[in-house]
Amino acid sequence: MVLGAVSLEKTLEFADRLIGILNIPDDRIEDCPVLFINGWTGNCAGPHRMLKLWAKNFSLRGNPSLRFDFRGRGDSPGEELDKNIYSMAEDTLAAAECLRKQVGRMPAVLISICSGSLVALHLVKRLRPERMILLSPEAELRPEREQVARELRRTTAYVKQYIRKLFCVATWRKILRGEVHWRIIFFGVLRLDALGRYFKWGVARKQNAAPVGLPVHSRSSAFWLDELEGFEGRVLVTLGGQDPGRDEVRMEFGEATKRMGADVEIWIDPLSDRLFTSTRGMQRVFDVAQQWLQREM
Amino acid sequence: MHDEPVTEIDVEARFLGGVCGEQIYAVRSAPGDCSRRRDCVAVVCPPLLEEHRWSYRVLYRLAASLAEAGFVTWRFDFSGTGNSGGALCELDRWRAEAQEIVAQIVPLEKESARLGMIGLRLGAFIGFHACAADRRFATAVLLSPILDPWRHIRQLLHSRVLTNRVVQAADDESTPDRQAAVEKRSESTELFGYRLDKEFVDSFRKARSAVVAPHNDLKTLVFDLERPARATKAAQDHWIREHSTRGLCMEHKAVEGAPFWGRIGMFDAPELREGVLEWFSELFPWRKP
Repeated sequence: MVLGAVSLEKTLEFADRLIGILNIPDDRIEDCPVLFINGWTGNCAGPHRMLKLWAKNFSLRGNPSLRFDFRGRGDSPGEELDKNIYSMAEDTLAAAECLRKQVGRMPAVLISICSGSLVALHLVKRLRPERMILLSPEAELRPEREQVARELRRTTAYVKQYIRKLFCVATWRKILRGEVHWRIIFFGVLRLDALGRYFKWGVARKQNAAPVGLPVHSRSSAFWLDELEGFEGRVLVTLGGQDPGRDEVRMEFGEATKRMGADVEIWIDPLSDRLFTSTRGMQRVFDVAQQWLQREM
Repeated sequence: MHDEPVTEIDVEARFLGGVCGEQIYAVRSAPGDCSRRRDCVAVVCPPLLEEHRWSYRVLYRLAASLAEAGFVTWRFDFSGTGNSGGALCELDRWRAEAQEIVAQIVPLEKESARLGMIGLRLGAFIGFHACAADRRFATAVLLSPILDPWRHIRQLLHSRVLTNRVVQAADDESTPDRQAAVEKRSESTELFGYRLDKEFVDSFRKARSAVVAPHNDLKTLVFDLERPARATKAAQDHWIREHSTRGLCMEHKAVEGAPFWGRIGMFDAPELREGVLEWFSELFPWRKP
């Protein structure tokens, strides 16, 4: 591994005017192009710039990479609510082709986050990457009733927390001083507006914005993971130990490994949340991914 | 003339140079037809940290709407945020960076064009400080501006500590002890995965009561999206009063709407978009041929 190469970033426009950012090392040391697949929301910098920093680090190690905004996200044109897993897959194919034109090779490594992992799995046979790193992948796209059940479980847990807080002096002090953010509690934490939409309660606020988009295609986890059948590359799944859904994902991928004989390694960072929201957590998961790639390639 | 909106807009992303040589990611949205441009270039200063990510698409739509109305609009990411290079830095350096960006984009646009600044949250604070004394700026639109950056950072730290207590045991140093240490001794900490070093925290502390002396022709609009909390309202009244005594022409407007910068997945804020568009259109009408 040679460090110290200069990393250059340049913006690209491809397909239907999608915006991408190409990281090119000044000196191509390793011929291992990386394609980043973002999650459902946000732009190609990723949560707390995670993908941007990863791209820079890969570039400093001699690997070119491309990250891009899906249509309807970031700076790419398109309607936000038209986005779905299949449109994401189309955009990813276009991005892979763009990367091939720029560096002369299809991506050897796919790195995806959250629902971007479903896209990576969906395209595994077409892109044939050598390695895939799935950061906190979605186990599946749930049918609506399961989403409601999950929201209810979540809300119940928070309600219990708030009931406990009512026995604290500090809570009452805040209430009396008018420092409690009721709006954040009801809509941000308890998500009564989201539940209200499911149950058609009157609490659903008048939205001044498009509703939060959810993937519209409900498929069982097997649908996505079955794509791994016949895949000869290797997969690293990284999960945050504080992510409530980690066991579900671990179980799904464990079963898929057995069912399809796919080579999947799962790593859990006990201190991190779902998005590895800490500088140390982010560094840990990058180090693990880097070591895994070095070992595997 | 030009009553019908522009149907095609050009969106172009590029990297500009920052104050310390870092690459600054900037996006230009402009009417596709050059003859359908007004004499104003809008510069959008985004918020920082995770508010930047959450509000990204709303600002994209705002820029698109302005472009459809004939305004060339530039958005950029401050260093250490979004797709720009570098690390989080002091408020003064960000202010200098905003001025540097303006210096770089002005030669790219029509020479006679005047400038308008649109800032959201902390971006409004930085942008206003950057443009207030610059006579090329004809207007500044401050969207739910942060008036006391130090208070803002403390609130964010506090909410992060609460979140960590409730939902996770993350190792991002957002503990009550750490927060107290930051408040008392200006130590470094981190927030939402961003490292906030000592200088960064100090610059926020110093900026708490900064009052700007804008030039006389700067038309300023403070645009709130919702009824602000009581503490914020008091700070805002004080801020407006301070500036009014200095003869600043400042208007205040509020519309209903959810704080889109505080949650993921909100793509548009139509009332805000239309309000900004109306303000710009009145200030910069189409020129008669």
